Amino acid sequence: MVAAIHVENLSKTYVEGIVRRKKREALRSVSFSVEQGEIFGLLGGNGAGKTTFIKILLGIIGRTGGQATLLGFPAGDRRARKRVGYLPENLRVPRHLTALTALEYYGHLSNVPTRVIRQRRGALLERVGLAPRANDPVQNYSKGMLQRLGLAQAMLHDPDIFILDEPTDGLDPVARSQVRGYLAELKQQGKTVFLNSHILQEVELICDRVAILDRGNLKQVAHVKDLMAGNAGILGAQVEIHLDLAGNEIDIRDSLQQLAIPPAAVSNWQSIAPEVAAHTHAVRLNVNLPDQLAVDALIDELRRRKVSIIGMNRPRMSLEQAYLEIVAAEVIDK
Amino acid sequence: MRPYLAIIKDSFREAFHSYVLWIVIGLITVFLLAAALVSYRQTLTVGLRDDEVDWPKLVAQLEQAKADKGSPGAIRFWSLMNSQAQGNLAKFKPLSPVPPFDEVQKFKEVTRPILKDLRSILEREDLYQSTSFSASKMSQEGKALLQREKTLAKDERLRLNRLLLEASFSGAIGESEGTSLVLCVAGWDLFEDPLPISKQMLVDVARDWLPFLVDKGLLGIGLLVAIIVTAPAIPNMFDPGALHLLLSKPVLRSLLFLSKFFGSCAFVLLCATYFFIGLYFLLGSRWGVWEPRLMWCIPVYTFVFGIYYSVAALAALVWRNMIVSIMVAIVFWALCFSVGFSKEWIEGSLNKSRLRRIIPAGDRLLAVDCTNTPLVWNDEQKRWNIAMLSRELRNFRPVISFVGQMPVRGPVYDVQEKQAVAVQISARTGQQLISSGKADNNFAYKEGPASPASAHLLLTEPGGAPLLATSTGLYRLSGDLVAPNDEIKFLGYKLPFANRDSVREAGPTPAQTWDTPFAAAFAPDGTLFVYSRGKLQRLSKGSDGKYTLDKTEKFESKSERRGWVAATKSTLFVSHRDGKIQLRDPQTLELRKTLEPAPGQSPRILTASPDGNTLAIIMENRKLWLLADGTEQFELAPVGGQGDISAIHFAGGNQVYVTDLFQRVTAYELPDWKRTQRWSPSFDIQTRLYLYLLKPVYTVCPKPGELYRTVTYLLTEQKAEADTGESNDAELHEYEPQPKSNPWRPVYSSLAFMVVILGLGCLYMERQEF
Repeated sequence: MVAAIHVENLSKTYVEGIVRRKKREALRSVSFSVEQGEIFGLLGGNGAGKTTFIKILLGIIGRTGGQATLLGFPAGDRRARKRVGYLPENLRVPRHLTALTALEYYGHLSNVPTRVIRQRRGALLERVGLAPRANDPVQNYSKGMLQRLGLAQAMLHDPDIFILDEPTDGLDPVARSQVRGYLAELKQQGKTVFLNSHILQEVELICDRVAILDRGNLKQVAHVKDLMAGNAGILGAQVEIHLDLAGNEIDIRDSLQQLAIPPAAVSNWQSIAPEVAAHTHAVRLNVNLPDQLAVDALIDELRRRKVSIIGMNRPRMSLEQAYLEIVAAEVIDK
Repeated sequence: MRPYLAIIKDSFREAFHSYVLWIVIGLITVFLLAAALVSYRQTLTVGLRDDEVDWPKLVAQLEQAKADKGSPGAIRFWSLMNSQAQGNLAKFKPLSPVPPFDEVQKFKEVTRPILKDLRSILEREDLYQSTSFSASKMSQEGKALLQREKTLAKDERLRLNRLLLEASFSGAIGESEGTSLVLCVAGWDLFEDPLPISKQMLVDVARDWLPFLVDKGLLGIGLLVAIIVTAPAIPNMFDPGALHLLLSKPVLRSLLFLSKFFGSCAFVLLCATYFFIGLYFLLGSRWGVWEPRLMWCIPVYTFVFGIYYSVAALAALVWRNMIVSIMVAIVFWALCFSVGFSKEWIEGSLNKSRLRRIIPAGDRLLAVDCTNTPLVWNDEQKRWNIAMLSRELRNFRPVISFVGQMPVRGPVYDVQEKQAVAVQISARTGQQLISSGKADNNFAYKEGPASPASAHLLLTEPGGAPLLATSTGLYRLSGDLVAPNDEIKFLGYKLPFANRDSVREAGPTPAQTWDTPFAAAFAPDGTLFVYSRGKLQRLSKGSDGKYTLDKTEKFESKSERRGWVAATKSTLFVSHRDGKIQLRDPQTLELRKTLEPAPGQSPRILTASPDGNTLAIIMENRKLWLLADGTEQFELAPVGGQGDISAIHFAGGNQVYVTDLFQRVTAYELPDWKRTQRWSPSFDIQTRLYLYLLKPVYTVCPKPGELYRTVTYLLTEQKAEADTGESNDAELHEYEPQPKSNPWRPVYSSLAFMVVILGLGCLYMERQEF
């Protein structure tokens, strides 16, 4: 099956200024593919090149180098654009339109017959929660309502791929949840969704895969769960564990000392219950250990000293942490 | 197509959403309603207005009636006049040509009671008496009223009384139209007295003013309003949040731009349709002017809007700002207007300096410009200097040439006497005097004898002697023309003698009555052909050197009063303002064939080479055509400056002089038209400004001033150009035809401009990254 989006060494350099021409690289040799039927997120901070990437795909701007295809057609090809539902960042709908006339206008621009538009637009507005305000001029709409109208117009011509630039921007929590629901439905219908967002919690909840862009450079392309798992699956890697223990505090400290764990590796030491018996405490602490063998040795030592292990877990990394780790690593390296 | 129609439809939505639009539609409606309140009422012409009375004649006729000597009708009026009015007749004094204020006051004091009394008499039901008024002197209208005199309605009775007054005081009371018009506003009469015009006159006046109203009113104010209303359409499209969504749709960018453009045009078309249909019904229903040609204004107005809006749209595309877009459109309009105005003004001035005759004078070169001023080439200064003019005419030249033509005939060059000869009016006496100038004296003016009759043209006989064609005949000028000391003068005027010294009568006998416009040309065999105000004549030279009239052919049509003649070896060529060249037999003057080198163009100059082998004709589009003797195929002359040629002269020795670029003369050598010499004056600032700035900019810009011609053409029977053919200007002897232009030309040039601007817009739209 043809990839929904495929880019290879995609580059874009903006040239600014008339007299003193200044070049700015927005994308540098970006390569990845988005398969049909998946929800793909493009992550990156401001100025990372996310919107530039989408503009190239849609033919709004040209590329400086590399290749880009959309649904198997060269980027910007009208045959591909016919099958795209696009929601731009900061959508502005002409002030003189209502939700109904806006859908008619955008539907016609996508070459949808009037009859079909009229069949679909009622249900779509119902779905995005705009039906009661369908006849109101859009100049009276809030940003969230405009965003929902934008989603409705993107869905109107039943496209194969949705390219959504910050789709939950300006929406309240309930509306965000609704949008997640629409996207899940679209995925079920086999549609491809390409999401551009810097709200990582949303992406974490919605996307199958993500690509991370930083100042035009592609940092990583991975499944969301892999990113969030971080390095938990690697035996030789450093491990952080959270322990809830009950026992003599001296025994706990001796166990850590016995295994030569430096004080700096132990953090967040706190009492979680009053003294239950003489010299018996319930404490919580985080310990950074060099590898899984050290974890096993610490557990053995604690048990040997009759310290009860009430709870133990390895903290799961959020997408935001993963993102920061990837982007920050670059900054630290520099 | 659906996406583009959607954009056009959206333009309508946007315009209808705009408050400005509703204000415009409201204003149009208010204008139409207000205009609808103004109407007219047709009434029979009754009563008497002051301006209809020739007071001296009326008073004279009343005085006669007083003495019982006038017409019975006048006596009847006299008998009905009151004593004050009768008494005022004796006090009446006619006004002097330039009356002072108190004289006018006294005049009115005398005439007002008479007028008032006459008006009251005209209201009497018993004015008519069969014994006093004879039906035979009445008009058809009066006779018809008299036939049913007993049963006349009140207004008919008043009308009859008016006709009785006109019949009784013939020449003193102006004849009136049967009906007059009363202008009304909302049913109220606007003026006390009816306007002395018929309904047809009103219709004609309205039709005459329509082009002006449409061009100045609507194309001026309406365009600005339309551009302001539609200005936001394209900048709004460029809001990034809106534009990126539009560009993501499967539409062509250039068509997106064009759809927006045509959407606004369609909206203006709708407004224009509303206005002009409203105006059509208003003029028809309220004024009786049912003028379907008014509908032409709808596409024309929309088209003119399209021209300016294309510029506004391009500006909006580049700057994405509504205010800038409007400002650019207004500046562009001002540019077009000022360039057009400046070009016309400077061109008018430069055209006066154009050379329209060249006269080789030995090793010097003389010329005549379009103000009829003789000039001589100064090789050192590289310029044309005034020559042959008397001091008085030189002084008056700036004024005379500004308002008309210099009163000069000629010059021609007398090869034998090595002098140039001209005829010019003396500024002191108003008399036509023959003058001469020698090359060694830089052709300075030397006064000579008086012209024996009104001079029409100076020619050079094939032998080289000057020949003066006057209103009565031909006179040969020979020898030294400087005035002798023993000239006979009376009250400062020189007495003209036909056969004295250097001026000798040269026929024909009997004397002719030649009138202007006048043209004449020699055939190679010395036969002279004259064309005088619709009369073509052939004159042959006898052994005594005098010309005799052989044959005359008359042309009756008014448009054939002006004619151009030239003769080659085998053919006489005659042309009229219609631009058709008649090929005639030089012996019998019979028409052989008619040719038309440039259809619809009048000729400027028709001349033949001295050997009679070639005819040259310069049409009013300033193109030079050639016709070889014996052939019927005109060819454009292989010279530079075609389209700007103003004069040609065949000289002996296979030399041809051609003038272009206002004052540049180039000599060519026949038969291969090889350039041999050029007299090119350096351009002054005005000419440089015209040639290098105004003309190129004018060529590129649309021509709002010229579109007036298109509107006029469409609204006035579509024969405006033909009408000018009958104008009085064409009757002038020194008439210089203006280049005739196609009324559709401004449309073509403006369309080309619009296409270029829209093309640039499309190119920008396709290539620009948004």
